[in-house]
Amino acid sequence: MPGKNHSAHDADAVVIALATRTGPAESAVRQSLAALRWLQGRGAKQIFFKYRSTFSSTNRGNIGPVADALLDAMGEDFTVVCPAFPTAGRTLFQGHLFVGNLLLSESFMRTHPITPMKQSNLIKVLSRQTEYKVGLVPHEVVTVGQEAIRNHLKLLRDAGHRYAIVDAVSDRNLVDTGIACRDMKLVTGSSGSALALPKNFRRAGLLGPDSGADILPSSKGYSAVVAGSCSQATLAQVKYMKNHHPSFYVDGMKLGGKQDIAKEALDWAKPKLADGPVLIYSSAEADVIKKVQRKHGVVKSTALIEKCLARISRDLVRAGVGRLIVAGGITASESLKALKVQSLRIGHEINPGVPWTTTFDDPLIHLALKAGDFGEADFFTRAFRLLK
Amino acid sequence: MTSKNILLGAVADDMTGATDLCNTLVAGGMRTVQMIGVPKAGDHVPNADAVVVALKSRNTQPVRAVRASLEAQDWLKSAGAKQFFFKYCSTFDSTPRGNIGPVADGMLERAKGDITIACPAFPTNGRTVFHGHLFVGDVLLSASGMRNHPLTPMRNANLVEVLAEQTPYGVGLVRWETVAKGPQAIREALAQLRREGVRHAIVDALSDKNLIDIGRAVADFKLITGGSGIAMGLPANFRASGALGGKASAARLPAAGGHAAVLAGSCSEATLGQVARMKAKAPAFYIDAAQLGGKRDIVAEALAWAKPQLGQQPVLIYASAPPAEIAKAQRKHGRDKAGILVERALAKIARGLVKQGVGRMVLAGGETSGAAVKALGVRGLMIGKQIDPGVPWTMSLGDRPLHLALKSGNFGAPDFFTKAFTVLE
Repeated sequence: MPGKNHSAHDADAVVIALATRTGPAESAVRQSLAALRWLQGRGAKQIFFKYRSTFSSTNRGNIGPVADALLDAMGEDFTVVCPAFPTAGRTLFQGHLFVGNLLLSESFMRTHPITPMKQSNLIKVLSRQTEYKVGLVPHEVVTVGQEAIRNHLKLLRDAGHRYAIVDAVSDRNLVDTGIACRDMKLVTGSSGSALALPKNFRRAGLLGPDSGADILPSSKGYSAVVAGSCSQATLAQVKYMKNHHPSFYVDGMKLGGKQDIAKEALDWAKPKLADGPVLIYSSAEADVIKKVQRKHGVVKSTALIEKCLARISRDLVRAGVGRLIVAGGITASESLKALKVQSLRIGHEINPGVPWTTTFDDPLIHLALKAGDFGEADFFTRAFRLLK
Repeated sequence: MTSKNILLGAVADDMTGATDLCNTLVAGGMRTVQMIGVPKAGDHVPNADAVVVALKSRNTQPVRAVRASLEAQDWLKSAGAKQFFFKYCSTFDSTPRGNIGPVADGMLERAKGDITIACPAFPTNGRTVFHGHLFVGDVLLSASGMRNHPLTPMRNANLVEVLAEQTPYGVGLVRWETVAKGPQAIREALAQLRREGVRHAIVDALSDKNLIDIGRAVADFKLITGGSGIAMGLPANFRASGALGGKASAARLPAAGGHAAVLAGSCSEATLGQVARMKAKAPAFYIDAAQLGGKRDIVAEALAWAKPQLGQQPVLIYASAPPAEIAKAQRKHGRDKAGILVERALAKIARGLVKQGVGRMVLAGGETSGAAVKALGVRGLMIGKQIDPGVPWTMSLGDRPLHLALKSGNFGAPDFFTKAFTVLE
């Protein structure tokens, strides 16, 4: 959450990154509302509530409660729900979320330790998180185009729905949906669903042409990866990187005792940094994580690991790392906190949905914050190559 | 004149499914005849572009289904068929033993092909396939009414997995992202799967355009399998090759005569709704399955009831009932026996009604249609114009033609029964 006097850096859009996906709904709502007020204070014309393209949540929230609270606070009664992100393999058909060729409930998300997704029908999923009515704009409407989408949204709204899940199987669908939402005060969805929003502002004469919006200053310093996510994609990326670069495993079983694992990791890393990227990771298969969770408890083990990784991120930067990839949503937000990074400038994409970014303040660090399940196996090495 | 030069030869695993396929072909401009059961060597077929053989092989032993399908295929080949089609239900009705996999394998081998597609999609009726998953409207197949089907419960919507259980050969997928790019991309994807040793390719389809593009991509395939929707693109292939003329009048039937009646045996929700609608306006007689097989002659009672009513307005005779009633009859007679008793009674009633002067008859339910047509001695049907999507009027071949509408259980709008007779006038 930016401070009261934090600058918006003369940007067209500001995205406030919270860590509200898991944890109590009340806290997620409180933080989201504070962010809303900050954005409203800087003149935001449209608010976007971004969540994961796998609709990661539980029966208690936090997508439903946060969206409900944002609508209430804005005096609105209707919004769209569009987690699809076709470029990253997340498609939505008849309200059912697919991850590649698999239903969400048959994908790796089925056994996610914190937000297991055992139901692919998002109407059902969201209905458990809100007392309001949830409707669907089905593929056969979306495919007709933005006018049809707009009409269907109006229909749903008039019928007393507060949420419209919108199917999308292609970028074209997302663009059409985005255009149909141009007058909507609140839009919710994955990053993919923001695809058309710049166009809306441009058409309204509020935004200039898009040349150079992603150009960052050049990078310097050492390179490192800190990985906390245990998703299949990150595990594959860790495996790949381990074969090419030095790596250090942060063993959850050893945390919480007398050993200072963060310091050990740093002592290990320092002499190697000058020779190329290093990897420090706690990512492990589900059975290993279960063992750690049995030892410390589920909540405590996450806290121990994330605190350790965040300290490692901070100390790596102090040791001269200027290009840092952090894998895992929680790991990324904890690392930013430890680095006291309040805001980031967004550059070009490494993979769909994962850009290089830089800090605004000195020292200027290049950061790539990767959601757990994004990216191909060679993501880490490719990311560093892109900076050169 | 007997046709020896049909273009497309199809085998359907049930009666109404066959009608449904015929309808699609007629709409595409192919004069189409439906044969009931495996045709005999001497069976005559009027001039036609396509012949669809309707079997009752959906729920039989796989071995029997394969044998009947291959016999039908051989007859179609002798009638000149250039391409074969295996038609099954758009809800992929089957069990881990078959019969879709075994029949497709058998027909593909007999046709000397090495790859076929499996595409049950029928978007007009809400059946779409996305990433290999079959949807019924906005629910997955496995969450639809088919989940609890008594004979072929469908508990998995992933057709790649479903079909893989029914065949020893490789099953692959052509994803929607590819299908959306058009015929050339589909052709390339199928060629790639073929190189990988896949014999059955599930193909995604969300729209009629997708189906037409897929149809175009498989113009050279020896065998195509799927719902009737996938046949949409086929007439254009034959037309492009010069084998088929214009579209006009493929659906024209001679004028109808005689009294009108509806016989309903299906217990699907759609048919129950249609029965309720007609009961409110027309004379109706209920056949209680639990009463069959006893001393009472329910068939005679139904016919005696119908006799004075005929000629004034269409009458309805139905065994359709909600699941609880059916369960009662099944407890009494056993599951298979109850079904057979109902079919047999309705078939006899159909024959009796024709003797009493009925010339226009709507039959609701696949099993009911099959049994009634058999009792009436109908060997083949010429296909006419449709009443609702998937259900056309037909006219029987032979000396004393009847107009028949054979409706699959879950097809048609609530006013289907009354609308049907209006369409005919």
